[in-house]
Amino acid sequence: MPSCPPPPIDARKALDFLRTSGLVDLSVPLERVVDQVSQIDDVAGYVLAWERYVLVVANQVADLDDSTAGN
Amino acid sequence: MDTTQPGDGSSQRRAVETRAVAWLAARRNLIDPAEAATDRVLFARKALIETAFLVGLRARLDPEPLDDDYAALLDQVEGIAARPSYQELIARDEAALLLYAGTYAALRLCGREAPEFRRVITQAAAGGYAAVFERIPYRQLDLLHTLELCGVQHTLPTMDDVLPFTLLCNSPNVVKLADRDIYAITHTIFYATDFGLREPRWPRDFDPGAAVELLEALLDLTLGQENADLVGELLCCLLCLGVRDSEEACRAWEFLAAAQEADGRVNGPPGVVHPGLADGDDAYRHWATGYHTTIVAALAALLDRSPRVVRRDRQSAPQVRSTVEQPLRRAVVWLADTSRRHDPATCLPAAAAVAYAAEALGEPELARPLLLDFSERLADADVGVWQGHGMEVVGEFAFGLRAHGITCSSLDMFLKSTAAAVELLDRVPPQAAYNVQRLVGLGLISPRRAAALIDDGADAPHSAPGTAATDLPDAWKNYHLGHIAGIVRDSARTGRAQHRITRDAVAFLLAQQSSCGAFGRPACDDPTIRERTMMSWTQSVVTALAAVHAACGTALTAPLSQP
Repeated sequence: MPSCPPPPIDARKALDFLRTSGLVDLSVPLERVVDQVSQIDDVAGYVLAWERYVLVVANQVADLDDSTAGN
Repeated sequence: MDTTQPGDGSSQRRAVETRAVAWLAARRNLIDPAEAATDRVLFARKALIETAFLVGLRARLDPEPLDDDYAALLDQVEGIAARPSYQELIARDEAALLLYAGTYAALRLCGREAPEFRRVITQAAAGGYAAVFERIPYRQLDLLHTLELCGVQHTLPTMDDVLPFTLLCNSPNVVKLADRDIYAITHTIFYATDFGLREPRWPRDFDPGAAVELLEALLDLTLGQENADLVGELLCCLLCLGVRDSEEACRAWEFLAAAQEADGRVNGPPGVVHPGLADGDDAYRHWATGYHTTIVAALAALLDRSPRVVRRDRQSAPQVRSTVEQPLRRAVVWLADTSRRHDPATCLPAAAAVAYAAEALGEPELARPLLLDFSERLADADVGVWQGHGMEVVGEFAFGLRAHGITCSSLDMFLKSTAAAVELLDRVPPQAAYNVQRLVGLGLISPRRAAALIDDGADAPHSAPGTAATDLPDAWKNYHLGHIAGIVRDSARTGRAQHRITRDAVAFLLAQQSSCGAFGRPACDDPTIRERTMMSWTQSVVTALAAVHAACGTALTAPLSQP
């Protein structure tokens, strides 16, 4: 069944149409998943990492934990 | 530094080292733990050992006597290490053996023997804890290397025994590596190669060519992040492996030279120093955030000019091809079947992805049932449906229909109207160029008219792959499959389908496919949300894999197996 001709497309709409890409969906469809993931690695600046593996900061953190626990 | 002037750049690199060491020497008081505020003592000890190591390596890698700035640093290190309040701490803080032993090792490399310092290290190392508590592999290598430089005997497993457990020797995926992982890799190479002075006995299945490829891929990413510290360390690693003819290394030198400040300092990345450490002391912060990166830049230049560092022909990485055909076909089938159960106006991008991928696979029939169904249900669709999805989606859908001789009246009228409007434009922006070509491909405007519409600089319609690839680690960390797919798609279209970064990103995407063929793990229990999410991810991944498949060519992938 033939349809009525659509209204003419103006220049702005044509440009918008040409600029729009959607084969790859860049939205985050499930933000909640991201929020659930552990963020443990966020503390891994290189100094912290270096110290942690030499087990110096680890000792300090342990000390802090002890004092916190004491509180 | 002007890296464009004639020559191999060695004099300019030497200048980087000279300026960096001068900057460090001028601030040598800051590496003295005795002069540091209580909360900065640990940081000073760390800076002390790293500075000491630079001087020790200078003495080792360059047979000429130390120049004044290196000599001033050595005197400072020796003066600090001579104090009982420093060297006797080893007996009191065995867990931090490496923090002190490295200082002694550096002095020894410089010919400044310190017998009592050596004695306390030897006693601690033999004491049943300092050298034997469990360390992660690259720290174990650090221990072995330090003890070796100290000349301290031990009965620990050798480096050859430890190397198979390291990240470096287990084919890591570059997309997944956090900064701390990259440091694990760089330090493994430092210790295993003894800073470029020996050929390690790599594990049997380790490919040095693949390691160079890994380092260059990481350089690509860290250059994009403008992380001078990691760029410097990775550059050092290539030099330690004897690699001199590396395009990425050249870019790294240009970056480091540009990053070096006039006084020789090289700024480190954000997050180096704990926010509370500087506490409003700008001069201290300036030093604390730059000293390590400045040391690394000096070390790179030192390794570059040393006559003692190994040099060898570049080893090629093994040819690894991405074989995406089977997973892509399974995903296309799932996406086509699932889309048919949904509203065509909403699922048009999925149908377009199916059509695009089926064509790339050389199996357009995979898309035919879906295209027939959607073309009928969209025959009277409102113009807003087509307008809203944009030319990329609508164009691929239209190509799919055309391949099967299917018509859709509302789509045909919309495209004709749009082409008429485009004909009246003077120019289109670069990001629209690719879609103008789609109009040409559909015969809706002439190639000549399209050429006139597209700006001269519009022949690269996608973002620069180097810049985009930099986002991959964050996209991986956040499980942003759409973003990863977009980067993979753009990389494939710009000739980087077989680049290590793209291959590793593809490998990650392929590992997200479930048995039904869909991509992505929603980690939620609601069936509706699960399906919607997996459709979005699968549509994106199918598009990316189709681009990879098209870029690699069917000759390079597995032979077709008909279902």
